[in-house]
Amino acid sequence: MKQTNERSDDFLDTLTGLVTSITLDRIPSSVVKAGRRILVDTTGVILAAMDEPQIQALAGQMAAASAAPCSSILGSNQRADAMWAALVHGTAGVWHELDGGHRFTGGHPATYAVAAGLAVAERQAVSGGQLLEAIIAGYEVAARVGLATTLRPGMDTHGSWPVLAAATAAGLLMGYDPRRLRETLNVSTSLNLASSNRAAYEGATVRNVYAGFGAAMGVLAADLVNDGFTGERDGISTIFGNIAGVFLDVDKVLEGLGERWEIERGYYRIHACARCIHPALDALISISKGHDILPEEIERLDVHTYSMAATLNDAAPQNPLAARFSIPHVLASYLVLRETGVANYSQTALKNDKIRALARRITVRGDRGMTSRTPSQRPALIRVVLRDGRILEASAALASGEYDHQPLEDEKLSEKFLYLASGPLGKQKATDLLDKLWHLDTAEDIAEINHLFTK
Amino acid sequence: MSGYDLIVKSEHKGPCLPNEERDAVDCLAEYAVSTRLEDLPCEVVEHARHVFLDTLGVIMGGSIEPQASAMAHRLGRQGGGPCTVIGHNLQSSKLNAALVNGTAATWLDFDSGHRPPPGKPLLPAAHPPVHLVPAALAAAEAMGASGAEFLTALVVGYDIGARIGMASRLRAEIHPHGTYHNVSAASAAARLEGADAIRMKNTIALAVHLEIMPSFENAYQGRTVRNVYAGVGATAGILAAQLAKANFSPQHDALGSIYGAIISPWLDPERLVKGLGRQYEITQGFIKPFAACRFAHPAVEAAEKLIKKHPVDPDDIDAVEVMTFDWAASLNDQMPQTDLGAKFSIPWAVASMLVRGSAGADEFRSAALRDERLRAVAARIRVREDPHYSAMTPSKRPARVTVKTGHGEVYTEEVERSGGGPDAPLSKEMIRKKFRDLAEPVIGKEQSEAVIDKVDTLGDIADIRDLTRFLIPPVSSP
Repeated sequence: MKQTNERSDDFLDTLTGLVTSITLDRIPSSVVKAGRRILVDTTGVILAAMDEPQIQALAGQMAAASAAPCSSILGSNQRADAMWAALVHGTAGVWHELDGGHRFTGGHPATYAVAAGLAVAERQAVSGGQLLEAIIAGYEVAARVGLATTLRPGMDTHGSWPVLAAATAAGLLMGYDPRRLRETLNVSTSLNLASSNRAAYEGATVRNVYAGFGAAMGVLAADLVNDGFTGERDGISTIFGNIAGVFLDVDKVLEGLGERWEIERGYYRIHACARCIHPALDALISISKGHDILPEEIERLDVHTYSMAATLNDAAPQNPLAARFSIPHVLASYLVLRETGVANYSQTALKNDKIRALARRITVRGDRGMTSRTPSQRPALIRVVLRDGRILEASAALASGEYDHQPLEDEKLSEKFLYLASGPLGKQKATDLLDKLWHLDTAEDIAEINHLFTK
Repeated sequence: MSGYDLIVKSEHKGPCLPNEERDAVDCLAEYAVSTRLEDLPCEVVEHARHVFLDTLGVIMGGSIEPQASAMAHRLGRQGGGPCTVIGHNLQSSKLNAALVNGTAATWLDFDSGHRPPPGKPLLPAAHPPVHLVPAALAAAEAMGASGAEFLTALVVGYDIGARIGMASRLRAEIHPHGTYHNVSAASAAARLEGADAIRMKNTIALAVHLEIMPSFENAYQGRTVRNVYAGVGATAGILAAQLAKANFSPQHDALGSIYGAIISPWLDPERLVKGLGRQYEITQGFIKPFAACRFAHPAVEAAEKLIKKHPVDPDDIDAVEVMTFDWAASLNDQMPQTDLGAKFSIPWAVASMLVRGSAGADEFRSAALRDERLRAVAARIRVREDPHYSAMTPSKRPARVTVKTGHGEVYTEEVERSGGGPDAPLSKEMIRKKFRDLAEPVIGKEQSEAVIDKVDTLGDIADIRDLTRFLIPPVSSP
């Protein structure tokens, strides 16, 4: 016989109990501030990809697919079912590798919470404060399960446990109590993708859809619970302990719950490439600040870093996404173009002979000692050997933009937002939207800002 | 076991074999876009028609369940798109219709499946049609495709997903719904949408990337998200075809990565293409005579045999012992709490046969769960593994039912393989009867007969919408 009696005090009840009780006036103000920062950052990052042809095609398809199109697709003038709007947002949100993340899990819960949260908030006509609460809660649930999960080798976190961020945010925006939220989580876990991490390394753009699909499945899970659907007693243990994951350390889910807030431990990116390349890039930037190095002066450039980053060693990436996962291209394009943004990964940059030639002179080595210092550190050491015999060296223990290492100030986040959002929205609208997002908790109805999301 | 002997006589051009220029997935893609209805042996097309009719019936039977109905009304509306939300006066997009119809299709657990993958221990059979039919139907309706194109898409789509399943070994804790038959759904949709071989190849790989890894545990616990797996699979198939059109790219060897490590520990590419274009997996499926988990069927059939020979008064049943193979022996819940849980309970399924002489859709709906006589008998049924039976799997999947009456009589019956599969197919008449039982309460007698006629002559129908217009309830006269 299967066990049917349900314990009332397990980790899922504790977790859902805590996050359903979140209100902005009862949590530390630093957590609320982190929620605002996540929302500003992620919204800008989503907007930045909306003019990409594939995203535009996807947005058109999703708008056409919708029965009750009441959620705006950001940066377009189309609407879709909340689930399908979330799919577009999530796909766009990871496109440029500029979305924030969480170094202790290697995942990106913010992207899912915001992608789904914006779509569902509009449909449910909630207040700005409620959206902020839902995003904070979604981040907390997903990141904590992420901390406890050891994924199967070869899997990508995208499409996996971060789906819980979307499911939680959607459920809270629909007013769910702890019991219904628990049901939502247990429904969502069986809708996780069997994602492969090689897609990113090869630059297969389906990698971006993992995030979109995951955000959509989070919304679907919450909607299904409203339809009366049910999930198993503890889908988190089943899926992350045995199916997508090989081991779930349940104690880690609850460790410091209510005292340590995971959303405060997230990072923000200013370089549009894979996060594990950032320490190497930061080290290189620090070298080039002291020495004006010309690409042709470089004999060779050696990178030593932790093992996961060291696999990103493709010297001739074939497409923009693969280039974002190539240490040689990232470093070479910085030295040639003197920037680290979206332009480094355009088709033009990929065809740039100077970048290609320099990338071939860059070698990447995994370092056992550095690997043993992860995830509290994610070290990299750069050694530039110049043709005149000089050797320049620099290292970084962590990338900038971490909460505990060179955090990105609010003004920098605003700058990043305006840089990314002005393209699709125009400068004025982007500026207005930014102001509203920073003051979201004062918006009584999310509708006050919805019109600013669209073209 | 080979049920292929009938089929190999086809004179179709030889199979596409991988070489230096093309891999196994190229061959699958080539097969999916180049096969024509004329290439297919009549028996194969006949199987496709049976699978289609059977799936339409189970979708209708599931569509009226409250949760499925709530989902249908949320994702469809009158005039809401080119695709039919089956069993309701609602229409929607391809994505939404596939999601709703795929979910309704598995609700009764009465839908047809494919033979279990080879190897031991036994793995559950996958159910291609609940992914394939909703996706293909949605794509065909949106295109106004012909019946011939639709049937061809069913045959090739079935083959592609089934071959992935047979060439790998899905992890046992994963429920097969929402996995490799997403690829069946995607390739059928892409075929109907006129994809060429390159786009087909991308579609197949993108669909592999959009597989979920859902838990079997939900089925054991009778939780209804289990029914959504196939719906999500059907919609992921449609999405994969759309992503391929929008130039999204898959990784180079998606199948190798995902089936060689993540969702399954190994993949044997040779098995993907062996006999392709000559052996049709749609002929290797089963159509369910009982509305319960397939592995419960031998026990139910043994109970059916038993009561035919020895009519037993249900109130006189003292104890029932069911001996069966390993996997089935875990379906032992004597007191299922939900309709889905009842379908994964041999005690419930066998009790239905002993008490009501039937194990159809109605024996597992919520109302039946309150039947005190049924509950009393189910509580007296014990299920255990017979290791000899386990050793006979997967080619045979036996069960033995022994009934002891209060008067001291003991009756036993054994079944080695349950009916409905390739070696003991349901007759055309039985398939039609099952369809009528499921469809008539939803669309009425007249339309049910119209659907049967249309499916019979499907190869000659110029536009599939000439059939799908009968899949919604008749509008009652004002």
